[in-house]
Amino acid sequence: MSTEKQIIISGVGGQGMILCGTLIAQAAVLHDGRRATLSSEYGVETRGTFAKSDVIISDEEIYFPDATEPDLVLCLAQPAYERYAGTLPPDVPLVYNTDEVTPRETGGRQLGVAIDHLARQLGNPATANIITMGIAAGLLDAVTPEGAKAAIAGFFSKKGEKVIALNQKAFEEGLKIGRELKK
Amino acid sequence: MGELRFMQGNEAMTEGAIAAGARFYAGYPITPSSEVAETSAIRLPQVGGLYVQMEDEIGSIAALIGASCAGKKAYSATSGPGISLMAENLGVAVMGEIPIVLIDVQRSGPSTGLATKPAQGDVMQARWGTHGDHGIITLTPSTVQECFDLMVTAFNYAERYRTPVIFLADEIIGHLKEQVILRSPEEITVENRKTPTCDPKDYRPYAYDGGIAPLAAYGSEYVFKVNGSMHDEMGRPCSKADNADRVIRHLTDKIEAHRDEIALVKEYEMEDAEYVIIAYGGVARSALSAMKKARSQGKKVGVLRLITLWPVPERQIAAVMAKAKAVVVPEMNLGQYIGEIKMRNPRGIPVAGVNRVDSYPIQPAEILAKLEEVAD
Amino acid sequence: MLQDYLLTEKLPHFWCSGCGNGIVLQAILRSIDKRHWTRQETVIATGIGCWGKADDYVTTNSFHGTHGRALAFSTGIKLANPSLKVFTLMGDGDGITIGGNHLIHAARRNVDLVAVMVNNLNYGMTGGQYSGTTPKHAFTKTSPYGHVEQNFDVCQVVKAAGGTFVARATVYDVVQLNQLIDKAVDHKGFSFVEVISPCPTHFGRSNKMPSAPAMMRWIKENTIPKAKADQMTREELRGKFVTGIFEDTEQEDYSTAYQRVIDSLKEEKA
Repeated sequence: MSTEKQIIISGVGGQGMILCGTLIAQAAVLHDGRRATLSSEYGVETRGTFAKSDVIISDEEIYFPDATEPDLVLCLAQPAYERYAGTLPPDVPLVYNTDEVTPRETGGRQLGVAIDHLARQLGNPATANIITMGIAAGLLDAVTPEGAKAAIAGFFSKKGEKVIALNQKAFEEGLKIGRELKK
Repeated sequence: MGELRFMQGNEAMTEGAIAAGARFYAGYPITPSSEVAETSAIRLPQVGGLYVQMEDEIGSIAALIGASCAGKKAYSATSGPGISLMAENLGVAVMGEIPIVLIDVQRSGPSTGLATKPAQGDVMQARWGTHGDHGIITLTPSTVQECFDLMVTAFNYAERYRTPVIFLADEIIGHLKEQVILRSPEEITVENRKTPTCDPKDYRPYAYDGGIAPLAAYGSEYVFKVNGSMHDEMGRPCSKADNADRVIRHLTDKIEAHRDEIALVKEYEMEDAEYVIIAYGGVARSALSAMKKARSQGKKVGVLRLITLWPVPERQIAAVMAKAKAVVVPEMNLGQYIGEIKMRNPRGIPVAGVNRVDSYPIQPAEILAKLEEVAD
Repeated sequence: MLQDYLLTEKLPHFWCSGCGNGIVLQAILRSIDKRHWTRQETVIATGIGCWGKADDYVTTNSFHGTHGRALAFSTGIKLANPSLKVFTLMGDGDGITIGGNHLIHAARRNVDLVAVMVNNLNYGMTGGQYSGTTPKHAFTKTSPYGHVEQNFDVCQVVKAAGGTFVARATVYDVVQLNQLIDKAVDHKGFSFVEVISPCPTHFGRSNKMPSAPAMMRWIKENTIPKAKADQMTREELRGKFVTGIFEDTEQEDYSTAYQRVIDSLKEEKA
């Protein structure tokens, strides 16, 4: 049980949270040789309403696939933040996207990161979810950076070396931030 | 050797169908099953198969039945609203004894309901969705691996018993992503329908004397009639009373009499279990988490996971009911299967449901609470 | 021999005297016989209704399904094995009323089969209620005061849906019927023939034509060849049966188009 890690990646539809979660879980399964599940919740609308992905990574068989005791919650948009802020045990980090979320004092461990801003700095706003992936990898020892980068390379393989390199860079940036926050 | 993949349940169903030899898909997209259609549209032509999107689910199942008569293993994926439309021609597959596999990725109903949210509200629809007496096979997966493996079984049963098989998944499993081994052909057993070997002029497509009659394909040397109306053993219309009686009993018995070969369950920590959770589909995972937690607290809890829902696994349920102190049946409906357990309870032990229809999965904690309640 | 395709032990058929179904079935079987198609390679699929009983009397492969769905069953049969010769027999209830959606989509897909819709202007088997082809003002069991709805011009519907061969015949003119069925059979793609046929028992009796000759006469008098109809106004054509070919074009059929997809994937792999 101690090896199990639960991550919630939440936001609104269209922010690429399912891809973020999928790549984390895929890295764990295909590259790190562990078990992982990804379950998602989303509305009928493709864009704009609350959506989330729960990732569980473990060395044992995973039964209930929802993150009931998360080790990390990432909130990319206000509706997601509202859902989790103030609901977590004090030691569980809640990382929020400062470009989308106005935080409030709820106690607990809230960590703001300018994820969208960083993505724009990297030259492509669409990398926000990959930065998020890096933050998760840096904060929790859930996946190896090598595994994560291999999963990124696999997913973007048809888009060419440039896109792979950009996304791996985004992951590295996120990873650095995650490791900083962990300290 | 199989191939390790990280995949969604719906996609694994497509791979399972192809591994089982399916080469024909006719369907109409519907949430939360559409990924089966999308992946089938990609994969089938790659293996020489065919994907066709029909005008509705009525036409979809009709095309499957036609394709199966022409010798192809055929399948479709839909959700409750689609099964409602398919109900009419599901009867044709039953009466005509044509093997097909229908995937129902259950969502919250009735009617359009909550399209993206999970439920298990189609359990009785799977059993009695089409009118008239008949037997039917319904299988339900709890893991992405089972979406693959059990799909092969679904086709094997369809072929072996000349019957439609309903693959009753739910949104939890259909959209869940996890590891799956796409097994190689050497690792799986694929059954094909028994085809006739007699002289073509002696072929009787509905001869019941030898159990299940062989099924030829249109275009072979065997010419035959398929008939959704009451028919004799040649497939010709027949309104004689004794024939109708024989046919309807056959359609029921050919499934019910083979219950022990069809009924699949999986037992978890059952050797010394005093309290048993009987669960199926996505909810079985909540049950297993609850069991794990209970065991860690020293409680003797086991899980009987039903893989076959119809026909009812009589023998396996009877074994539980003979031993357990109490049984909990969690379902994402208001109790569609618990009645089957209650009517097989000769000792009158407590049988309690945990039921949720608010579109959220049943939490392991809810099952644990119910276990404590029945243990008091 | 034509007789080889008839399941003689099931004869006499159950159709009423004066019904046109036998004439249409003969035209279809004659066309199969002329091409020496075997019973093994031929499939006759039917719907439900008087005409839907036609499969009872044939020795070829047959499929008898549900009301209105014959074309959907046939689509599966044909796409699963494109070498089969598939005939889909529907009444006006099957073809355009309960099954209208399947009709337009089968036409649009250009599935290579022959669909023959016998239009007797009402539901014969259930006792003479109105269908989607019952003319305005006509009397049926369910339009006892005269029908208030407009009827379909089925050939125009199929043509608009993309049918590549569309024709109408009547059982009065058997020579033309045979010709049009032959042309439909030789056409590659979705071929549709509507055949106007008398139902003296129900439609006739409700509309002061209780005998077979009376109905035949009525059909004859109201039939107008397409060439002549082209010169007439819409008003003049109201209530008339225009016969002839409305569409006859070449277009790749579904199976050929899909096979190209399969072949292209093979090449990609190779």
